[in-house]
Amino acid sequence: MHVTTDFPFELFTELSVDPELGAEAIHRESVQSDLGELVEETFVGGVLADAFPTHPGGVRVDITPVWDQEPRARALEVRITEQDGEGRSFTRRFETGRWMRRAQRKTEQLVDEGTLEEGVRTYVHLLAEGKDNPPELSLPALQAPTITEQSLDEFGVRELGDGEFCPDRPVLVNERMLEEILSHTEEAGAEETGGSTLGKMIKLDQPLPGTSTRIVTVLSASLMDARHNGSVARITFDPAALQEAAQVAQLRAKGETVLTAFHTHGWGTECGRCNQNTGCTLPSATLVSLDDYQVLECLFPSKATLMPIAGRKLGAPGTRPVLEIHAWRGGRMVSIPWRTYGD
Amino acid sequence: MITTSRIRFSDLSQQKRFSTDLTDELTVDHNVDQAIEHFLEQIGVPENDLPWSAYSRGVRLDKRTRLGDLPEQDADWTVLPTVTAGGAGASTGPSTG
Repeated sequence: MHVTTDFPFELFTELSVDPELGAEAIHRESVQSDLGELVEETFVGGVLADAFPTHPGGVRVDITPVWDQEPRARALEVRITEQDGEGRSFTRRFETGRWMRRAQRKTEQLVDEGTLEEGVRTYVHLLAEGKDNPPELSLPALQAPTITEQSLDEFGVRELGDGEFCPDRPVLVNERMLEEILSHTEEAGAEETGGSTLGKMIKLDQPLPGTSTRIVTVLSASLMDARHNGSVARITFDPAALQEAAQVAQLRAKGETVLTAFHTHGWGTECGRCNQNTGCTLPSATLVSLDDYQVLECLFPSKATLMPIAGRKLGAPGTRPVLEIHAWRGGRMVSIPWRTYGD
Repeated sequence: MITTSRIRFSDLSQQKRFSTDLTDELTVDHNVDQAIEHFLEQIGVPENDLPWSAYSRGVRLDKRTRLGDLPEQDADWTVLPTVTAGGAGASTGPSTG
């Protein structure tokens, strides 16, 4: 795919303890290379929303700063336009990106070094500085996710269950898989656990009711493995176990892959009111940590990746853990609604 | 033994793919470790100082193996890191200016 782009800026971030632009920066770095993932997310988002073809011959990428106070940008808007065919385009706005996560790591490092006091509030200014000769944008090859044209019935979806769809990113979760994940979460308690999650992206003839895209992501089975090493607040995924899960997916012969991995953020076994206890120190399943982002960047780098996290959620009804499913939205993972299905 | 002349790489979910003949930037004289590095660079994934592995036919490849010594059946690789997830560090972090 031929990609043309023109971005007459160089992007920097400045980390400061002052919210005002022009204050002394405690750290400054070029973040031009972070643009690649914004372009990827826009392309994949367009494909999954069925707003963009999977294999356009060529595309034009326009990246526009949304000024807060020039050269400080409050957001970047990325528009990808098909250069042939119907000339369709898809736009996504990014108020955050990898630069914010890097700034978060940098802040932690400066606190550890003693340069910053613990608890001090820091601010990240995203600066788009106009350049006559800006550095060339290095964009990774844009690849559409693997999507199979099939009916849900052919895949083995017998009936839709509870929940609701995100209109442009409908997700179906196998009921038995959900129950297994919630049971494992309860059993593991404060220690985190997790496993491979098999699934498939399917293109239907027509969008499901309440959705605007024909592409549905089905999360169909989870595979626990004792080699994934969980402890309080972290879990390390074992590559050999993940690889074996990929072989299981092949043996099932349904066209699934290890689409992602689920993990837990801990579950209380003491107070019995995990979803109501505002004083609980266990992280919520709604939060995606810096470690979680590293999994997304390195183990599941596609912007089509979903991240299921089980655990507590303040205000959720009932006394059981909840499963939050996070999807890429504007440079970060955002929890989206989903429905169960029976097979 | 017939050796491989082309490698097809993918991530675990098979969503990020790359293939190359062993005649250009990557050659038969490079090793598995260098090939992993090349793949990550091509698909824009940071190494992040993580331990990375390549698997072919379900078996982990020795990082020191010369690509020219791989049998042709070992042309399809899955590349993945050992990586940690979890709620540690789930703070809100800095604000935007």
